[in-house]
Amino acid sequence: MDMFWGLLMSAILLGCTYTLVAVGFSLFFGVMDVVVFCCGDIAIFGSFAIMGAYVAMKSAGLFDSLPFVVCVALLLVIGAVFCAALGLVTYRFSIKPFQNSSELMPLLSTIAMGTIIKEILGLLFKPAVNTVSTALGGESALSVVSGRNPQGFPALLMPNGTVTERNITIIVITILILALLFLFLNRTKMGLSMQAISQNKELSLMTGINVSRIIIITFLIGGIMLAISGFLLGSYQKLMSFDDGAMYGAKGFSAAVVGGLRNTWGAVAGGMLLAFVEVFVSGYIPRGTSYASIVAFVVVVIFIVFKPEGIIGEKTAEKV
Amino acid sequence: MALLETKGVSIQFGGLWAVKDVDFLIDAKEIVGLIGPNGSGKTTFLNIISGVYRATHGAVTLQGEDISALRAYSIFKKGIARTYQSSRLCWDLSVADNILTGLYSKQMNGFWDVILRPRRVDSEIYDSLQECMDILSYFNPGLFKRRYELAKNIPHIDRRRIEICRALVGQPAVLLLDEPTAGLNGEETMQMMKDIHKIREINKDICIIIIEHDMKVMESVPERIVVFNAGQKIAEGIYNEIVRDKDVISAYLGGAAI
Repeated sequence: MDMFWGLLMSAILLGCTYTLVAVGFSLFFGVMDVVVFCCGDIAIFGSFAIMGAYVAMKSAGLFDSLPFVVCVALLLVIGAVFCAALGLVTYRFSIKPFQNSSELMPLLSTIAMGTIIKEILGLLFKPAVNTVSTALGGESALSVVSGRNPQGFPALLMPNGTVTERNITIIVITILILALLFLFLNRTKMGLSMQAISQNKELSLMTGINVSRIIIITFLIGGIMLAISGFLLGSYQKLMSFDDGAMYGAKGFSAAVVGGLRNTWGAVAGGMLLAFVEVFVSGYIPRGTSYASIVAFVVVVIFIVFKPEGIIGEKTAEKV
Repeated sequence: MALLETKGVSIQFGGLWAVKDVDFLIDAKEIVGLIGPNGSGKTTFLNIISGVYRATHGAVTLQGEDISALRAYSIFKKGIARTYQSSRLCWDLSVADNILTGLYSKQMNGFWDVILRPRRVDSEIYDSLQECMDILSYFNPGLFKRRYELAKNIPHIDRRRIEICRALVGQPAVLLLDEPTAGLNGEETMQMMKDIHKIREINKDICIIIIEHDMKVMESVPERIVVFNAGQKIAEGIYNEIVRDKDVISAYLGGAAI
């Protein structure tokens, strides 16, 4: 029974990480009708930005002079600013230019953007540990490779607490963010305008909504949310690799599709479903860890075949 | 000074002038009909006025103010509302909610009000809803009874009515109706004509520009008719003059018919 509770906890935890990336997907898809494939990479960019800022703040002695909580808050703000800016860059350079062309164009261009983000992270991060490579001769070539090694994410969340305490904090923060997002989407004028745009862009324009402004705000908010996911991913995984974004992107996108792409709550349901399948398969099936991802994606395929509209999405029939 | 005026308005798509050098004016309390063969530029002209397209040349002024460079959402805020040829509704929202979207730009509460003053936000929404329901119950009591049903379950003519109410609720100075009777049968068309007359009972100063193919509607609804052909204004006048105009007959039936 203890094992069950342990697995349940890990499943919820993993579900939280998938959910936050999936919500990013559904937020962008809802407003722009575009699959922004680099959501995972933006989140990972956020965690790397936090890591970089951590090193800088540590060497500047800020952690000694300021209270720890303030420093963590500052790091989060820095991550959010970086990701929001990256969200805007993604919109400006890989979505807006293709607005009037085929729907496949932004799909490809955001994959390209994801690759660029990933490679920049791989190139920029040269941790101090890898100066060992100088002993082998060519420092520059090897240190480029070294940036592609996993990086340790600083313990920022409950550094003195137990693992369980940290995990519960991650879950609580996720719930808090989703609640804030719910309030924002359903109660504020701006959130409602986002929903209006996702239903009917022309109508929105004709009821006085500044559509281009709302799209930009969506990318800002999406970026901030992905930065927080990056922070939680880092705290959960402890080791971050520059190319983790591809995996989280694939899982987050699958979760969003399984849940119903346009529906934010579907993304939560999809993320949890995927995580539960993975964790329980690894836990209960002998040597299941190797199959966990396979089973999860088989579930995705089954959903696409039998319930293409998603868990929460509604069936739509188009009149011809 | 006319309420709404266009001077030399033209728009070019590639090599085609969809609308060319159109001078047009309309005063408060007036209803003007736009007719013309398919592709003559009527809808494009409404799209220029409402800001969906920006004119290549020429100017559109509303109460003396040049609005040609404004975007669609700010033109709506200035007081020009419209409906489309095909319904533009949020299908998963109720009739009441769809009409409520027309008051979006009049609602003042922001993000912090939602968190700090939820009651104030609620009362604003309640007041707006009341305003919408007042208009709907006057405009069509039958549809008022179905106000909580989803828009997707509402018949075609009532969808048209929802769109008109949504446009009216913000109390615009100008209302643009793009083929309000498209897809309606004879009896429904008669009902819609009555409804259009009702618009003026709700808003006495409103001026209406209506595009329509049905000549019965054109005979009884507008006070003045403007005829378009190949992007240009070819005639203007009351119904009886227009139907006898040689250019108009030739535009509709082809030059050989004269």
